[in-house]
Amino acid sequence: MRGIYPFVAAFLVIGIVMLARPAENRAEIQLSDTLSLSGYVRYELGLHAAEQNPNNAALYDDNNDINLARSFFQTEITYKPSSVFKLFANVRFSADQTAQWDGDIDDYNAYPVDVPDDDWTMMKVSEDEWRAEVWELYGDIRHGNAWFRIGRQQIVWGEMIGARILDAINPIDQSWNFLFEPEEFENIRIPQWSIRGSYNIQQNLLSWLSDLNVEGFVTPGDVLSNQRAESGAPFNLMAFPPFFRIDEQDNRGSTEYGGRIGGLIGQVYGTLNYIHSYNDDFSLDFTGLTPDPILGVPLRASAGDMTRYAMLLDAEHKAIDLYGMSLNYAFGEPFNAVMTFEGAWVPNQPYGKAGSAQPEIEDQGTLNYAVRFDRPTQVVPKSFYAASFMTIQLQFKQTVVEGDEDDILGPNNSRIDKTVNNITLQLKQPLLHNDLNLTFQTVYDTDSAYMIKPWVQYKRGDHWYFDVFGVFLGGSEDRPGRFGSLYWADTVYGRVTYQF
Amino acid sequence: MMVALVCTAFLLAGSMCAQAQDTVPTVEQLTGGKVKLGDVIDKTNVDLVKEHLSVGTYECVQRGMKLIMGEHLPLDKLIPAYFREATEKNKGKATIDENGTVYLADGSIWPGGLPFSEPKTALEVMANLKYGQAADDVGFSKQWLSFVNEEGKIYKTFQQYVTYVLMSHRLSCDPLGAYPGCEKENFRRIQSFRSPQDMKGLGQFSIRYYDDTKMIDTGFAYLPAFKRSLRVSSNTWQDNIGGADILYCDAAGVNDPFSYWDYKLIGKKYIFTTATKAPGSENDSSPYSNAEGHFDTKSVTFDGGDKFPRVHWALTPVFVVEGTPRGEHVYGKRVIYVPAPPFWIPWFQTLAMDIYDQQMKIYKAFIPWLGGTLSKDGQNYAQWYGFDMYDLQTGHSSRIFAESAAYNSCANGRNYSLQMLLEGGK
Repeated sequence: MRGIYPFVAAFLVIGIVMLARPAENRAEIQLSDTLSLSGYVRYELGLHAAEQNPNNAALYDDNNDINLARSFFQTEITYKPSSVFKLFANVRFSADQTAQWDGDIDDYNAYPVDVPDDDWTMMKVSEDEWRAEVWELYGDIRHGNAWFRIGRQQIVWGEMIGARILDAINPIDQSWNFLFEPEEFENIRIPQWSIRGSYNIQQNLLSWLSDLNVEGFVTPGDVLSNQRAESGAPFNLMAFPPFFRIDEQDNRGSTEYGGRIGGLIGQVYGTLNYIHSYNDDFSLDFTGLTPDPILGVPLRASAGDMTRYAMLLDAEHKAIDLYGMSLNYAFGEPFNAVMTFEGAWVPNQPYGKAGSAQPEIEDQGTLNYAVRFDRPTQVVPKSFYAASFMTIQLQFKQTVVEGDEDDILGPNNSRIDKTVNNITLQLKQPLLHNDLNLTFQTVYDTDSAYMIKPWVQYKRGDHWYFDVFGVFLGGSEDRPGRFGSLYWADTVYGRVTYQF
Repeated sequence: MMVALVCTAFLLAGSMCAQAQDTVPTVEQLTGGKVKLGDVIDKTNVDLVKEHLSVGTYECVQRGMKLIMGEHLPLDKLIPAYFREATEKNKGKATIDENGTVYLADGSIWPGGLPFSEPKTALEVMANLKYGQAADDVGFSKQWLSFVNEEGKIYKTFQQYVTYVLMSHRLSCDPLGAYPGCEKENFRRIQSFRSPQDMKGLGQFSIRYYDDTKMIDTGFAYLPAFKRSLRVSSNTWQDNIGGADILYCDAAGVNDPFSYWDYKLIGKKYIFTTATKAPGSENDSSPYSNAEGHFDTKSVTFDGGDKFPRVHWALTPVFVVEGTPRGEHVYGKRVIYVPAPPFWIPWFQTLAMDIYDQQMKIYKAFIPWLGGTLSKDGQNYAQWYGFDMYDLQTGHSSRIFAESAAYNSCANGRNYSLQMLLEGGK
């Protein structure tokens, strides 16, 4: 029941905000000429629409009905005293009721993003069922042609749908809704304390090049990795053998950095990127054996019987270097389409080492690239329920592994293919002056697996909107990390949001 | 008076009067004294002035709009003196190609001022819109996009800021002329939503090129929900802005590249447009708006719920230009009313527009809101608050309105970039 109190408190706060807001029909609260407040309160319910999560099969007898039941209260505070300085804070509060509402799930830690108690950088207080945190807190400073953003922030490079090719700076929190939020990564990309700087070079020497910009960032110590759901959570993705003793080797205190240069050559806009970071996913590395601390010293174990031992493993996040580029171009009449390319080469991508008796790490060069075409198109007449154009997006993404793919292993020691191809189609049709938005997204893995994400959103006035969306996965390609392996994760969501 | 009446007769027949004879008649003169200054025109008496209304305005009056008969400010209150001087200095020097791109005889870009103070063709009229900006930048720090339903109730509002900066033919702010290296550009534009929360930070950055036929706009959108910028397709011109009745090609009148249309000059005439002179002091820079950026209900009443602001209208000399799309388009045609020099305003000079659907039935009416003048550094700038776009087939409408326009802040055009788009986001 502890989780219910913050939930009630959040609604009390938003109630006060609603009462205090001006009577005119508008969003955002202007507290003064320089200070404004906006935000939302939301409830999200995800109903499980598939069979039991096999990763939790050892814990629960029955299939759970609810994958997510969570309330959110988020406020964004902007202080802009001048045109050269802005302070922004995003304060979030949420409470999770999944285990309380579903009798088939035991209590679990719904907020596992954790750092030591004396590590202030996460700026949070949390229990298993709720968390309050300063999600983002940064200042923007402009000086001439230079611009800096300093503080806890998300840095996003790249522009692909649901694919993080150049968007490789911040880790993501997969613990509560995996990758299934309609906003993709906005609510789950974990901000880090970083310094980001950008400079517009006003050069006249190269007449064919304009809008030249250099940008860099450094994250001096606040290095986190992707966060996974804990055992017993609906979106628990891992089930390790019971004799694994895994020690997470974080990179707190290490430094990540990168830079990019971008510009317009004619009508082609492109960037060249470099990022030095630590792999957001872990790789297991064997460090030794120890007598099982539960079953005791294996005095009576026969020679070669490892069942009375525990395997000591480090979950390592290896340093990687990413070299990337992006290009985009808008075609005029009669095509009226935009083509976008994005690619990244990581020469030292860590994998599991094939043929090893125990988990070891093997680096192998990996190329990720994607090409997307976007075209706004009139599919239904504008007179049909006040329709806007449909946005049609078609994307092809390929992952290519350097060298012999038989030398390496994927998640859970799965076999790696030389290439993996995904085709994404996304259609978005707004109706009723964009109050009603119908979105359909499907991602097809050419090895025969799929993800389908339909989404209906209805907005009512300035403040309310309602979402119904679903995620359905399957296919015969069911190796870990492929869509078919998530056959158990189908979920239908309802979401109610009041924004201010 | 006789000269004016004779001239008007020719004008209505589509003839052109020389500028020297172009004295604007009064409403009394045009109606034989049946309508006077201060009278209110509504659907019961609109036929008295029907021939001096755009088709769209006439249809709005039939649906409940009321017009107060007023007059304009003196010409020197409308545009800065330096622009008038540049127009005079460069008079007769403009040459124009088949796409409406203006150059000097030696092929160099237009230095500033109105290219054609006595336009003879549709392309010359439209070239004035394209290169006739009388301030080097214009911005709206608090602009609202409101949705008005069939009952006349505002049911949804977005707030945004919008700012434009000229990259060439600059007359006031450094650098004068063009930014070195940016001679191929006309202007740059940044727009970013501030509310509602789910759209906060959603913005666009675009470059309009000097020759918009050779180079289509470069445009990017920043999506705060995804924290990334995307290249925007040129086909977006025909899409609705945020679901409003306004298409991207309609923003501020005529917003898409002129080369997408074939233009025909219908003629020159006097029509009623919203008046630059508002009740009260001539020195009030924003007589119709309040500090929040909405119509000030102390000075403006509404008809048809919130749908039709009742403001002053004045006779304005305009060129009537008919545009038909060269390619596939959601519109059948649009009729644009462009001020006839020397009557001119600093930016967004389209004073009315009738839009027809593909069956050539009247579809939408574009009506901008003027009133008051802004004096800054000894120069005058007619006020432009925004406009309403009325869907005459459904009764729905959309309004863009701001507290006031800020001219010549001398913003650095080179900083109008993806970086600035990101700054406006979150």
